[in-house]
Amino acid sequence: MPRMPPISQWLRGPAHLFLRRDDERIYAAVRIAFAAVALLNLIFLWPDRHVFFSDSGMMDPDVVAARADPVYLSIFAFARSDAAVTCCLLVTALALVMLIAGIGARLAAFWVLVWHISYHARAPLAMTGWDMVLRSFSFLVLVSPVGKCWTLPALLRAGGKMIPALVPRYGLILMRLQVVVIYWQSVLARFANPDPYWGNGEFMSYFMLSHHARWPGRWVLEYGGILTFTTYAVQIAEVAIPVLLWVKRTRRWGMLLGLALHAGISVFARDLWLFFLAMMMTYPAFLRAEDVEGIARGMRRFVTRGPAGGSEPE
Amino acid sequence: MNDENVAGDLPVKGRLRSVLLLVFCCWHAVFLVISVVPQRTGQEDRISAPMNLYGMLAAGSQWWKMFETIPLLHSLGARIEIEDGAGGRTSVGSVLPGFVPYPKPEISRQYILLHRLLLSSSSPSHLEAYLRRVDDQLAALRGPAASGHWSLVIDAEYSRTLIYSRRDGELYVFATRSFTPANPGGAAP
Repeated sequence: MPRMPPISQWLRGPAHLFLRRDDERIYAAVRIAFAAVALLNLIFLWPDRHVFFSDSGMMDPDVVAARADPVYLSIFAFARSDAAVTCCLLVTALALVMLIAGIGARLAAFWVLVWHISYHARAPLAMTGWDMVLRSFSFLVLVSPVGKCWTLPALLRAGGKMIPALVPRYGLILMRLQVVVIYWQSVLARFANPDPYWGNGEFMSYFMLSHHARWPGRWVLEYGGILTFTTYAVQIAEVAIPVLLWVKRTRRWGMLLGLALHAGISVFARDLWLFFLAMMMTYPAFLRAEDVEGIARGMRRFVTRGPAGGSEPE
Repeated sequence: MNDENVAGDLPVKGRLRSVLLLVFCCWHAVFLVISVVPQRTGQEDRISAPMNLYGMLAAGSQWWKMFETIPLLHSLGARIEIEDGAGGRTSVGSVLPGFVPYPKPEISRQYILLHRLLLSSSSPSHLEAYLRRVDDQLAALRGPAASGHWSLVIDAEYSRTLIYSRRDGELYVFATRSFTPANPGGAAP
């Protein structure tokens, strides 16, 4: 009877995948990008905070709690008044600034996760695609190594000359997987819930006439061919981007294609630029050590020469 | 590689901690990989409660239906029309608190909320609760006589089928619906 392989052999593959070490600055890039976009999202939520989250707003808290599946978990179950909601947003803004700066980053990331769970639970009808992207990354940022590089204390202490540590890359792998799910499920959902307009190529024409469109008008009717091509091209791009991003040799092409796709959506659609930023925020997870080294070199050059890139004094 | 080497190779401190971390990573990765397969619309509640709870805490809903449905709506407007007792009607905004006008140009989040609240059949209880709140807040603002004597009026423009638009150049068709606490399903006025 063949001998069962020892448990170490079973662990070798996952251990290699998740626990191999990588440059901690990749995590720092994700942390900073995530917190910056989440802070922007918070700033744009601010004027409507009472509309969405307070007891006097649009959504009845009892109905929201009763319809929560499987349970209602939200700090807004306790912070119900206008003033309490304002306080929650202010504390979250502080946590996001701390996360950007890398000060008390783990605690800040925990509060940011609580914030995302809470506002999703309190205002489920007002959630957008970029909220979901931020929500999924808030957990992954929390469980990932924080590191000391690219934090404000490290910058102040070592003047940016700190040697980056090597840390396990499990958080990056999970983030990359999350990005694959976002793109591929979007495509597969169109097959699971068939929509003839994606199939026959008319989706983009309708999109350009819809409330999403920045420039709706009769011109859409004259460019049916181009828009049909764009409908199919978008779907091919959504399938290709995660693969290109993940493969080391093609990651920059993936970033370029993703940038083109999401920037295109942002240009032709109204008020979806936060979705563009939220998706771009996920791309640093695909950076490699040489990429962050290049970023660090560029930042050092920027600091020593100034933004105009002028020559050093003679 | 033997068991000792696995522990020795792991970059996080402590063998047990490393194994637990590895188990979590494998579990979350499997959860994500399974999530690639989309749910069919209307079958979202088929996920088991523990998985749902894990998703809620750790990953969000994982339902990425970006532009899955055709965006047929071109414009949306909402206002509350109050009977003034002399046969006339006055209008106030539909956004609570404060009966603020629905923003134009639209803010994505407010549009999504209004669309799901009013025109999506999956949230009738939210709509009924919203109509009750409007009634309560109107009564508080304008006195008990205002209660029940108002309606929420929605003006919407929908894109016509492309083939017809190409024929006559008309892009949109206009539709109005009104909702009251007594008639939360809405009706054409």
